[in-house]
Amino acid sequence: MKMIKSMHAILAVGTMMFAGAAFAGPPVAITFKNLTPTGGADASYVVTNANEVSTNTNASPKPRVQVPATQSDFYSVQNPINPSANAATVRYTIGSKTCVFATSFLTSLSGVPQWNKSASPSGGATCTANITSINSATNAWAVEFTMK
Amino acid sequence: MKVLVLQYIEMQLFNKYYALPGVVSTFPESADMVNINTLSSVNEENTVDSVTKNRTNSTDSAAVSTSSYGPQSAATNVSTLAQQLSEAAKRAEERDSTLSRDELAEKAISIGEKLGGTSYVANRDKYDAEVPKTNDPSLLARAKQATEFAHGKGANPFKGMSRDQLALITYDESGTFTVNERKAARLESYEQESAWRKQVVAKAIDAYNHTGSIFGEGVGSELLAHYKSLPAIEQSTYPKDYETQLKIQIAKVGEKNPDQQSAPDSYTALLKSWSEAPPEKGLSDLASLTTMTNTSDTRISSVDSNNSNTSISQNTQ
Repeated sequence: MKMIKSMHAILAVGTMMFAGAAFAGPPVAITFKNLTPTGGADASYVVTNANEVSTNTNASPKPRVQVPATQSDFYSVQNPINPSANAATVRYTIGSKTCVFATSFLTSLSGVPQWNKSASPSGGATCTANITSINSATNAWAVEFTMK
Repeated sequence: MKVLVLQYIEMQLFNKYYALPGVVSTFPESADMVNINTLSSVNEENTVDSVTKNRTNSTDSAAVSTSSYGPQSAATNVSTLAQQLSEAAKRAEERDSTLSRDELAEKAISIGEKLGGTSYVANRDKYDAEVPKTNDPSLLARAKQATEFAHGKGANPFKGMSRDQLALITYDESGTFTVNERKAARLESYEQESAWRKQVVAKAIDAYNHTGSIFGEGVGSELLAHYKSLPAIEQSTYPKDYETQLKIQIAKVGEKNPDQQSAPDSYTALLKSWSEAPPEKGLSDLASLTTMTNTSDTRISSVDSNNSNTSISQNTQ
């Protein structure tokens, strides 16, 4: 009897672990490129609102706080709770220029997967967002954000 | 040769930071990289004589460029940089021991701003004109190379150095290194980090595609090991609970983290082994794994081969 209880406990722990993995939404691989030419200033990664905090929490490895001119940063973001959605919002500044980038994945009510991206410039910045790949089997995707 | 032997002995006395061989690539045209884990000297015919020495305190590797300036120049460069790193390491140690993690993070960010932010751009002419206070031609040449590199010309004088050494240069505020040298060291460190990040993100996505978690297939452990390998001032820019969070993620995917050298096997492995084993073997496997796993809770004390008389005892240690 004790053995059965013990096994149940082990199975329960195992089930919880598998369930945890199953509930994670598809990750997005993010590449951020600071297209400022050599000699220009770093782009600073800043976190200002709840969505950006959430993105930072779910990012791995964490975005670097400074991205030198001509350099790139690489990280992934995964929603650990919702299996059918994921979103990331990041903000970079170079002096008075700001780019706010967003990307998301959502499965519509009819079951159709949708991937979105956006880039919002201000202060004279030029910002682009492009989805560079999608895995239709797992819905994982990759996006490239650029700023100058 | 005598000088080289003395320099070699000096090198062996250095601690973690400066025992690591220094990199001097003062002259970008010099393509040959010689690892100074081997004591090397260049003879008159420009061949390299090596005496291999095993080091036990580090696995880092670095290299020194020989140059057309001849063997004495290369050896002097190594010795000078090693000395500079030695002194910078002492300053870094003092800084790390006196500042809190938050203060270290603040310093890391403010130094980053000075070396690459808008304040660097505003002071660029001043930094380009900076000359080290020395008559040492190798140091003057290195500073000049760093300035050229900051303008996109030539090679990084610190290419290939270890992260520890690059951090010593980047975050050293004593004036030993020029701003452009520190900027070059920072960029080399950045590029090494980028190369690692690019591959680990690709692995994380693969792990998700295979296991449902970006921390599966060893990715969580790699992230943790990488974080722990960083110099303290660079670790400080990560969230305070980063290590704890990674360990939680590693546990979730049922893998050992790098700290658990002799730790118990995961429950996932335990279940997998048990479910895949033949009936008569399953319980004995489970017994052995459980015995390894549990040091303070339920322990299977005996299992008979017919699975009909299993007794379980509580280990109260």
